[in-house]
Amino acid sequence: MAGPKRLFALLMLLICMLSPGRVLAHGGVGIQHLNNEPAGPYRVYVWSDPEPPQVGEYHVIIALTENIAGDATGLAGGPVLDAYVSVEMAHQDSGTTLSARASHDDALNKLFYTATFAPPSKGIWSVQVRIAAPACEDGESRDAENGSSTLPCGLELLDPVVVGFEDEILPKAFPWRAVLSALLSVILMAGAGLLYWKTQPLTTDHCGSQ
Amino acid sequence: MSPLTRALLLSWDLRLEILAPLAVLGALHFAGWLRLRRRSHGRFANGWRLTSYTAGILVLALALLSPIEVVSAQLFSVHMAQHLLLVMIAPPLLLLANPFPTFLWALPADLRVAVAAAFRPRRALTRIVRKATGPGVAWPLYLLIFFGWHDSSAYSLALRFESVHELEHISFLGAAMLFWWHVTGATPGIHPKLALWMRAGYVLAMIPPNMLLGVALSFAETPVYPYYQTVPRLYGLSVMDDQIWGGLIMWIPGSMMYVIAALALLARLLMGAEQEAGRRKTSPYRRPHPPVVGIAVFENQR
Repeated sequence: MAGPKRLFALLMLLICMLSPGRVLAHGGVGIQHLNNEPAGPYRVYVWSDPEPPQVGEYHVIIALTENIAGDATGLAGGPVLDAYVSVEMAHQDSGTTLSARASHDDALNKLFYTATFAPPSKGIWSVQVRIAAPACEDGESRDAENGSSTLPCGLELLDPVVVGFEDEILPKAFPWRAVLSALLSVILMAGAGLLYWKTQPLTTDHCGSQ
Repeated sequence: MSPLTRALLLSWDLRLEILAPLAVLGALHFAGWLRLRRRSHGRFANGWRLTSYTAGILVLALALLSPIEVVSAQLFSVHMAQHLLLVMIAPPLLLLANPFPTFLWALPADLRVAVAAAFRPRRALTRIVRKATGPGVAWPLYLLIFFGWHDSSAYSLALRFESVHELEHISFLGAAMLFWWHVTGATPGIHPKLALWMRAGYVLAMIPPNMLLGVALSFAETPVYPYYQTVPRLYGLSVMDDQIWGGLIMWIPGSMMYVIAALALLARLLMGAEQEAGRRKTSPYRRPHPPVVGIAVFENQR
């Protein structure tokens, strides 16, 4: 039974290695606030998650594409992956402000930029997304080798582009999803443990008797 | 490799609610396979069955956890490829391994006996399951679920809400398992076994509706799923081009899967496999069914 024992241990390890935070984080893209919005050299898409927005957890997800001159649909430009994106939230009543850098690291889809916040109070928040082009090295041209965008060098000299929207954050709801996921994990682990325990004596007896 | 491709390949959606059941199903099957192999000296648990089942689990993981899952929210064509993996590749691979007896062998003896007993022909549960899952139900149900979820409103709802999307995938997989169950003839064999030519007809009959949907999507003059107009485009693929590719994927590779399955069944028919199986049924020296072996051993030792 060394094989199944090792398999069982490996399975448990695999399940335990997955941090609940990563797993329970924003799964879908969420509510769209800006769709294909032209802003300087970019086209901007912005979503927020979770749905509905709640006190204590708020993600702003941003996608950028090139704004091609003469493209009426705004869909011709490729994704821009190397911009510097930051997000600032301001509570309209209290004036509380929060800011964070949006990066690919926390995004499920690595083409998107995600900024994570923990808004402390409910109410209307104004959200501003600031997009700055990264600086080019001396003599470097930004092309397909450096990023997906084909934006020319020198854009970093321009003022950052700012787009914004308002969102209403609601009081925190009971975390049903987290509780159900945790319950499922516990049931699975308990089931696996019980099955392992129950199959042990039978295997030993039968193998020995045959 | 371009930064765009690199970013896409790094976009994995390792959700515990998918990963844990797949790992548990894989581990259970492997444990049962080891035990059944030991008991039957490899007769009922051979290498290709383990390979087929493992490949099925890996295809499910590829469809639900890999960048295919993430990119399917941006490209309709990738979403159609994901559906193809879920309904046409993974279920036949899983069922070709005939996993039911193997799972029984992963269970404790008393539970194994109880589960196997629940599927005895005269049991009420068996009668209900037999009526609810017969080929006459499985075929239209599969068709209904496949067409239903490709309706513009249902599809948009699934893309809008993650929980609806998961329901879509579960219903796809469930209906497909039921559909392919009758094609592969996997156990538990609670239905009268369809002749091979009938199974081939059952599969081939799915081609016209599948083609119809693929053709309708490929030749639509406007975007059928407006959701894709609200996400950034990739690789210069417009919404309409993406829709054409998605329809073509459903139409050509999708139909090909049914053709391949039908050809495999007809090949078996021509080789006389069905007659051989019939001869075994009447022979007093027929090979016992794996779970029956397990129950018999267990009951003898009681």
